[in-house]
Amino acid sequence: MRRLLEAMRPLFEKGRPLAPFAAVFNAFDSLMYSIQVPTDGPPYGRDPIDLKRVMMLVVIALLPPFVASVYFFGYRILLMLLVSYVAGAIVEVAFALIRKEEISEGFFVTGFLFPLIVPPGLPLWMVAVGVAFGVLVGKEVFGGTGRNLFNPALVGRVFLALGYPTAMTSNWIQPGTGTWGRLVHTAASSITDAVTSATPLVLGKGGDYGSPLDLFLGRVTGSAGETSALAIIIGGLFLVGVGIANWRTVVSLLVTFTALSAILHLAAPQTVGPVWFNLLSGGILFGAFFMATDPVTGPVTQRGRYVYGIIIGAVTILIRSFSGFVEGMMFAILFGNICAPLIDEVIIRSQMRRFAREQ
Amino acid sequence: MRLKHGGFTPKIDGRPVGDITTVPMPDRLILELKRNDITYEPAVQNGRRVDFGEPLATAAASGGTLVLPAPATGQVVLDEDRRRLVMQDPQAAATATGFSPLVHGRISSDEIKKTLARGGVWPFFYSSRDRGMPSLVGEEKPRSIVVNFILTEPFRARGKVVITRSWDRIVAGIRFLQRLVSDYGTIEIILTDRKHPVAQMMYNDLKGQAWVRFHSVPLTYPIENPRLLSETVRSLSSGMNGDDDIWVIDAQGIEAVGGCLGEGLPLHERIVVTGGPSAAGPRHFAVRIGTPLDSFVETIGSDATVLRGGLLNGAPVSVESAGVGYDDDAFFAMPRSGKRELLSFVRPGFGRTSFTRSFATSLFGGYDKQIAATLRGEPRPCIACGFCETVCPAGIMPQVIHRYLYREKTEEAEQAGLDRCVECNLCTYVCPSKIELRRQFTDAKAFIQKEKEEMLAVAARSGGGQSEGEEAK
Repeated sequence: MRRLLEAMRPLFEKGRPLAPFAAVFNAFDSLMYSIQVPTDGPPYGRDPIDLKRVMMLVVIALLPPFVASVYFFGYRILLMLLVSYVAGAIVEVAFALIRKEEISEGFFVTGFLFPLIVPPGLPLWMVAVGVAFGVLVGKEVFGGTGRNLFNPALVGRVFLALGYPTAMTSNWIQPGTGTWGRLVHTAASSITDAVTSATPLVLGKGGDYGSPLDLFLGRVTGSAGETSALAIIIGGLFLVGVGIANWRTVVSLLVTFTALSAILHLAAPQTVGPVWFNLLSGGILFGAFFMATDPVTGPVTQRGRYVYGIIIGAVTILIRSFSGFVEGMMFAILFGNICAPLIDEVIIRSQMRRFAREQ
Repeated sequence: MRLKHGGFTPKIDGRPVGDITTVPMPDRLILELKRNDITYEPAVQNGRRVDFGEPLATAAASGGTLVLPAPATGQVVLDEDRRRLVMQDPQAAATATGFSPLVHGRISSDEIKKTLARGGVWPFFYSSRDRGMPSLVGEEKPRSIVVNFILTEPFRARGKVVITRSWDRIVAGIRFLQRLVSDYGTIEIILTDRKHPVAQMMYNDLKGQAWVRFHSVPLTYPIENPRLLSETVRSLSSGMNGDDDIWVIDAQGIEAVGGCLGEGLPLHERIVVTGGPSAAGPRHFAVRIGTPLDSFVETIGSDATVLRGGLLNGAPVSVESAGVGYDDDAFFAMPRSGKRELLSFVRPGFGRTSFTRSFATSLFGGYDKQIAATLRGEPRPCIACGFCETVCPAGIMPQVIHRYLYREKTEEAEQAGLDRCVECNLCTYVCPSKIELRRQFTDAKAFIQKEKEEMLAVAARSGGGQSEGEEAK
């Protein structure tokens, strides 16, 4: 493998016909084999953590919800993942070539997240359109990884939700049960036989909260990756545990959400469901562990992360309870994304004032 | 007592053992005429024979004259560019020319300062007010002197090893410090654990001296940073003002003070360590200053980089041509390049430790065996992971300053605390995007400094009396 890559390397050198694709080759080369760039300034040794590892750990943490979604909703999810990766990769590579920049590994996460946050019965072409739009408008037009304002996967989802509202609210699949879940169903049959438009949150509006165990395990309808609280908590705690997901956001978000839903439930039990229902249904856990912890679109400052979590947690429960939407996580995170620079500004200014006083 | 913010000690393979190996006097000493960024001018003629303790080179600094004393007796050969000299056939001598043991009760602080400057010991002091070496002139005395025995950077000569070897000199040195601090001033001694036998020994020998206080600190890098240390001590002491001067000196510095004043021996020896994954038998050495590195630094593997200084602050040095400097205490060896590993980002990561817990070794508490003089990743834009803010011991937000500097907003970077950076290099070490934060910050500081000087120069030329006063200061 190493030898094959080395043999190919000259083909991509300047002046050769394949030169425009050097970025693709380099990305593949460095993906396969860790690259060794010598340091030329102190500290001469560095920590082994790099973005490839960061992104890969997010993908590994997403595996439990992904496996759960395949179990509950069938092989279709695998297909959606494939489509998402291909469509997103095309946009990503095209922009890297145009900009003559490195291909960034951030896409591994966006491409993996996207199928997990849409209805499992969504037509595949919509998956492709959504992820392409998300990567293009959510990330590339802002200048690529590290410069985007909004979470690309959520931008893609919002686009679909506004462009194809029916498809995005009706393609829920009844989860499989038993030892094999939906694993034995074919991809084609799983889409037609069990489509419904009722998710626990929709039912919850009518006062039907369902069984806590079903919600916890994920035996409910919903976006592909968001149903199984158990799988999300396993993956999420792993991600927080290895130090990649910022615990500040997760803790402040979930604490705010829980506290506020408890208060609202006490105040208006008809409108707001019980705390366990709010926590286990919809995208709150998935969003808290995997979407709100995206470092790029959150505040830059660590103290800002607490505020960010509080805003998202509060807005989510408010949208869920007092608006026409049954789910508020997506808008809450996007709202948090908008607030992030503002939160940073306040925190940075207050630190500057403190420094000026201390001088 | 502990760091107020951040701090982090990488766990690296190749920690030196505590035994000291004495390196015999080599057949030549290589002496570089540069120390703490100050270049010294040779004070001897080419080919002359100098005695132990005679000045080899001098520099005008801190209001006086600093000296590099001859670490042995021998014949001097000066390099053509006058940056380096070699002492041929050096001989040890029992007494040094121009030095004699002093009695600490009877000498003035002025005499102490002059002797320490002549003995090459003065640059070991740090003054919080001067942000560097304290001034050799003036009557003003520091409010406290901090004597620090904790060196956490991988890997520097450990305070405990120095204490065990040179206990008497250290006690003598601390007694002399009494003459340097102001009335009712204190000596603050920094150790790991007050219950440790070495700490007990020190406590018993110094107890009853009202002006000595003990502090224990955890082993978190960069507690030894003099700027952080002086500020931490200041915040602990009630009744100390923000502008009270605090001096800091480390284990080998205080040992040199005791040797120079109490025994009449100018700086001539250092305890140095070799450490790191490529060091063969990492341990402590007692070496004469100027000893060629290749006479004791041994590396394993064909292609090793040796850093002069520790992992975080050291810079590559040529083992074949350099000698032990007057302030060296660490030589860190690691491979020059790592191997290109297949799909390393999905491997469990044995033999790697990280600030994050993303490598298998973090689970089992091992040491980093894979570290090499490489970025261990590829440069990328900042993703705002916040690791730098978490480790920063100065309580600033390196990622925010980076973003300001990236947009060339120097003024905002200054307001965000750029000048509070103590250059510990931790932010650059942990950055997953491999951004050269340290270089960016140092460059920006130099740029700001230059701009300020230019403004002062312009103001002076236009005849502003006030700015002249500023410059005279």
